[in-house]
Amino acid sequence: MNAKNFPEIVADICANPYEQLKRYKAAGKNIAGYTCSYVPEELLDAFGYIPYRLLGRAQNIRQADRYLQTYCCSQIRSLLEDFINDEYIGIDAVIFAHTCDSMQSFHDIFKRNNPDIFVKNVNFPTSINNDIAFRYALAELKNFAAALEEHTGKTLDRDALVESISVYNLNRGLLDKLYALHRSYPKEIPGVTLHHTVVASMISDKRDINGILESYLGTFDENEPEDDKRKRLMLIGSINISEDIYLLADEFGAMIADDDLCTGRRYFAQQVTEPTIEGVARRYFSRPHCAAKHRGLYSREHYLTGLAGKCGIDGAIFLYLKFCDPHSFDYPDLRKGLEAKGIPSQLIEIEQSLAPSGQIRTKLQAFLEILE
Amino acid sequence: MPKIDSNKKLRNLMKKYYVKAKLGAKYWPFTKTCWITSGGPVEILIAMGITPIYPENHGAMIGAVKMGVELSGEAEKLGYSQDLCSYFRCDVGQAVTQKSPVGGLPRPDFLLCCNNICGTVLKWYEVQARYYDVPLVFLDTPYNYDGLNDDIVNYVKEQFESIIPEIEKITGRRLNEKKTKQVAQYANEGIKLWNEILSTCENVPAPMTCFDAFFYLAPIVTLRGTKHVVEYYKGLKKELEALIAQGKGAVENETYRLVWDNLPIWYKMRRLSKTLASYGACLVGDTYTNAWADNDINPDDPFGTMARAYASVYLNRNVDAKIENFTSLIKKYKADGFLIHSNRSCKPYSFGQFDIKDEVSRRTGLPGLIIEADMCDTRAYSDEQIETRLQAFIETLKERKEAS
Repeated sequence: MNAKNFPEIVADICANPYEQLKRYKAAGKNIAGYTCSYVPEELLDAFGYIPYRLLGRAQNIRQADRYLQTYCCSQIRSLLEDFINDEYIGIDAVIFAHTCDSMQSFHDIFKRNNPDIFVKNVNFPTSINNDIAFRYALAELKNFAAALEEHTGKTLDRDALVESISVYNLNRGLLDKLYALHRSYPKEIPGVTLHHTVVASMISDKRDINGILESYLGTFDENEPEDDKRKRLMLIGSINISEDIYLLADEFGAMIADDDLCTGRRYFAQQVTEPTIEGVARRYFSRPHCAAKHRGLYSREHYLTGLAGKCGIDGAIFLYLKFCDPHSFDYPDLRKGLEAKGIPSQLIEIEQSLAPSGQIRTKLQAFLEILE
Repeated sequence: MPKIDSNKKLRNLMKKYYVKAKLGAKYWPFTKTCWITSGGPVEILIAMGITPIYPENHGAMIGAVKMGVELSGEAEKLGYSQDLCSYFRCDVGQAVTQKSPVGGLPRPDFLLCCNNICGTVLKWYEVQARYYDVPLVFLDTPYNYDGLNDDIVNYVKEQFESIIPEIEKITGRRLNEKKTKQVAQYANEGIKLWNEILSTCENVPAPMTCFDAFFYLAPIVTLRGTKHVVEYYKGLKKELEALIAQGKGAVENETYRLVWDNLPIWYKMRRLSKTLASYGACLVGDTYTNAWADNDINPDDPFGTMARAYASVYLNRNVDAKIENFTSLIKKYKADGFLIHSNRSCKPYSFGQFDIKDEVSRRTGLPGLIIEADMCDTRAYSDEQIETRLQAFIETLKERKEAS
């Protein structure tokens, strides 16, 4: 593989997630599908699984409607539809983590209806701001490791965990560097490559991605930054599997300079600073958190205004999945908080199960006109 | 239902509660007011002499008087999605306008949120804590994905030990051990009485319907741990037992006994009650009011037992446990079928209902009907559609009765 072709390689993985799964299965690997970035991938990796993020791609949801009402978010309904359509054949385990009400119910429904798959939930606390919650989180991660030991018949190998953590930390560092380089070279590293690289990382053995990503990033070391005066946008939301917003931003001469997405920076932010289960748990208490977690009344606002300031953001896009309650609750106050720092914003609601409509184009175009 | 004194007594009890809470917060500087979620540990507040206020109970009142759309609209104007919980939207609306059947809620000194009923309440209380600029005390009760375990119980118990000093610091009040024991005792007595009251519907004909139980529920939620609740429920129980002794049923010619799942549709209580009664159908049991009927708090170990009780309330248990519970209610009340309210405002209560319906039907051999609606937002309800479906459902019950 040639590092120069990196954008095409990750674009291809991203466009064909089921093929990636089949490739690993054909190579005799064990795959653990997971639904949330609060699932400790390092533990799965240390037990020999390839953690594979289940993002749901189904466009026409029919069969999932037998299990879930239509006022459930399209991320979950698409995911279920994909399972019913046998898109995830070969998955050896499905791992959930506690976040929102909808995912919580989905776990129960999925587990009841898939008795042959190893289904486990990491019952992570909602509070992530105190020692009592940390002790509980740690106990829960140890319970999870014990469940994996019981299921696989293997014992958690400390050296394997150290190696997994090191591989994951490298991936996180490289993704962070990619984001930074994108801001300097928005033409050479288009925004959509950030999206592709994060999603490809989520569904690949990190070892496969890290080498080529590192080589790709190395090609920029000697280059002069592009003299680019693009408007800098930041995305805020939960899951986004569509590349449209990135392509449209480019088309309109703007750039997605950073984000606070499950499928973006929230996935890779912060390193595990101690190569143990404690270290893995600690990272969740310090990394930027999902709207379904609690770290105080203003933690997300302070984090987002800080990130916006650091990246020189001109405007924020709230890219929200319809029926994603935790993020919807935060919207009016976050909008006000950003406004108070001089950062205007635009809300765009998306449905994962529907092809992107013209509204994204219209709203983004109108918003960029305001920023001019 | 035949008229009983307890109806008037309840109105007076709740009126007194709201008047006292509102006047106290406004005119009596020593009053401390706390907004608390319906699954929250109110016993602590009662023991510390803090006035508990339940925005969810208030939301039900708003829904019942059909102010839901108007107040939700105020929240929607601020940017809150119409897809969010209608209790929350109504609460934002009443905070902004001070409009409601009781002229809005008194301003809180702090908020106490327990997420054992949903994750929504945490987001809701975060919003309101910022709006009123008051502290939010949070009790995190992990969902029982694989049942209740010691890690969860210890986590919740440790939090009790930490939130009490937090509340003491906010209010300047001390929690007294003797008073706590007494409150736990009243709470336990109230819960047991409430269980007995609901169980009167095992009688055929049932002396009340769930529409009555939704109304009688308010004290065990809002004033649990007080002597008033115990006295009130003793009186109510006595009156219901008298109705049973007289052979009086809540529904004339009770023919079909049904069990209900999820919150009531507050703005359609009267209409649904009349429609069902016209078919001789009586709602004899429900999962919602029963959620306050099975906690067991030991006055000698209030926090240990409260940790266990609060971490394992009905809505914090998984779908399999909900199936068990629903099935046993159906058997207990000798039901002929069941109604499930798929409530757009309550995702954790509603998702999983398709599995619940199929499995409960399989286990009991009884038919069930799912009704799509919302507890407060009338925009999610269609009289014609739901009444047509109810009529068809009753036909099914009739055919089954005739066949047997």
